[in-house]
Amino acid sequence: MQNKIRRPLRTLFYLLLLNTFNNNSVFASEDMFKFSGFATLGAIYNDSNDLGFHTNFKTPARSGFSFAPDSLIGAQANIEFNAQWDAVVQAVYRDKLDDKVLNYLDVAFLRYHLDNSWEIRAGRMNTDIYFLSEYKSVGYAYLWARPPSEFYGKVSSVSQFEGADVLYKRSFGDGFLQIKLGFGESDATVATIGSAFDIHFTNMMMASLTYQQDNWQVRASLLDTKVDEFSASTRTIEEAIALFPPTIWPGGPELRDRLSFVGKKQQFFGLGYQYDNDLWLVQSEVGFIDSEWDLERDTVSGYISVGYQPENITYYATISAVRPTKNNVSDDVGEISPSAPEYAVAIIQSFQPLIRKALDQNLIKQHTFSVGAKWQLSPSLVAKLQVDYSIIANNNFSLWRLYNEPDSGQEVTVSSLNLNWIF
Amino acid sequence: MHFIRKSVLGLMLLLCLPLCAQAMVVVVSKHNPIESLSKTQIIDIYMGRYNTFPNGVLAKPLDRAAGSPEKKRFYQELVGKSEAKINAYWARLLFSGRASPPSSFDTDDEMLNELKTTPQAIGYLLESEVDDSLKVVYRFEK
Repeated sequence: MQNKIRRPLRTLFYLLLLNTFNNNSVFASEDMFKFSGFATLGAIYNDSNDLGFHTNFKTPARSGFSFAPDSLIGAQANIEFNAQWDAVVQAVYRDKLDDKVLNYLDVAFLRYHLDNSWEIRAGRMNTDIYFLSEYKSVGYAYLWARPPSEFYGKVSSVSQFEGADVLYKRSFGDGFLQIKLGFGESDATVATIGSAFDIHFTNMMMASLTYQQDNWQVRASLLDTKVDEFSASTRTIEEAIALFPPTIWPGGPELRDRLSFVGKKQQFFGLGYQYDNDLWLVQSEVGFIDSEWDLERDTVSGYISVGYQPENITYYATISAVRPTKNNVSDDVGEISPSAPEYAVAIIQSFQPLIRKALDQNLIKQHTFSVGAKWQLSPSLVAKLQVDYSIIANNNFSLWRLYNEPDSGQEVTVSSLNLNWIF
Repeated sequence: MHFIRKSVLGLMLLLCLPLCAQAMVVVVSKHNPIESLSKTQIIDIYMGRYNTFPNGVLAKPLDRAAGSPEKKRFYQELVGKSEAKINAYWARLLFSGRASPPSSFDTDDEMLNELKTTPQAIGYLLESEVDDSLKVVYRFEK
């Protein structure tokens, strides 16, 4: 089923790339191509020896002093064929876990403007489910040194997708309304506390609604997807379960189903509010992840940020937090037959710590206080200085990579200084 | 010292008068069939909501030189935003692939030439800069 969807999408994607770079197009004209770009040169200092910092799960984690997490350079081509058809290609070179050249392409889509209100796109696009969905690589365009990890870290695993979407936009009352529906799939190479693994999201359905009026904007979004490929195997537990027939361990098959990702829904619901009157800026988002797969725990996350911008410098403070909403996921091995031999009961019971470890490996519970300043150095250059102080709950380190076995709780300070250009 | 400060302020006011006294207008080429636009329709075009005029013809918005008093005044009067905010806004729209910003020019002459020779161009000028080759489609109230 997945190949039935993936092959046509890939073909469309490659055709689009060929079409985009075809300079001999009959439509070619002076104004047809517009090239632009953006870059961030960012340095961080992470004061923890145990925990590695990364902006999201798709990038390697770093401790001490590093340029890697925030630095990047991006180039974009906008191609306008005529009033109805255009295309956008965006490549971003950044530190990332996978080595696939194609994944340096963040965006490559063809768009058809049906009329002033309707647009249809196909290709690779940003997953539009939160405020910074479509420009989080462009540091120049937003307030902070980087988006708050508590909210953006996890959902950034599905930051791009290959597929199609439809946008409807119109003036509504005194404001402007945009509704977007999308469908597609996504590959990602991600790492939490363990090593990196590949994951494929299929049947991604996205919906977002944005309403903007004068100084404020609200948005609501939904993502519904399933994981159909996952390279981090639970094979050890599955093989152990297979050792004992259901007559000895009736609870075995049920446990295997709990740990399996196949057919399990992953959903994200997001709400956002932004106010900006040119002096004060307030932005807040709340997100809920609802997972049918026990290894991917349900979470609630959010942040609120307030900025004061008297002149060329904007001062800001942010509080962000994330926590699991299901705390008591059972590690019970399930029913064991009363007629099972004693040695079998002992072996089956010994799986309990393994199950607990698997269930807890993705736990995230932490909050961060951030303060910072953003300088507008020139019309195309912005500098940002930010300090993040994170408090992480016992054994809930999954937003970080473990270098050493950390103490039960941790407090980490990450200081950042970066320069952001557009050109 | 007090006298110098007053003199500087007076000089700045004097220099500002010719600019501030004039209304800012939005214009198109006289060959464009559009006769008038509302403020909302100008916001739609200049803020990247729509890429066409209300009649469906592709619009080509033009900007004055970066940092020019006319550009600052236009965006203040249109949406109440500073130029830095407008730049950040357009960075968001451009790099999210939603829309391209208005064409920008190094000199006013280049911009005026484009405005007069391109039927689908739209721009903003001080009232005194308008000549017979252009048509006023909106006038900001002073």
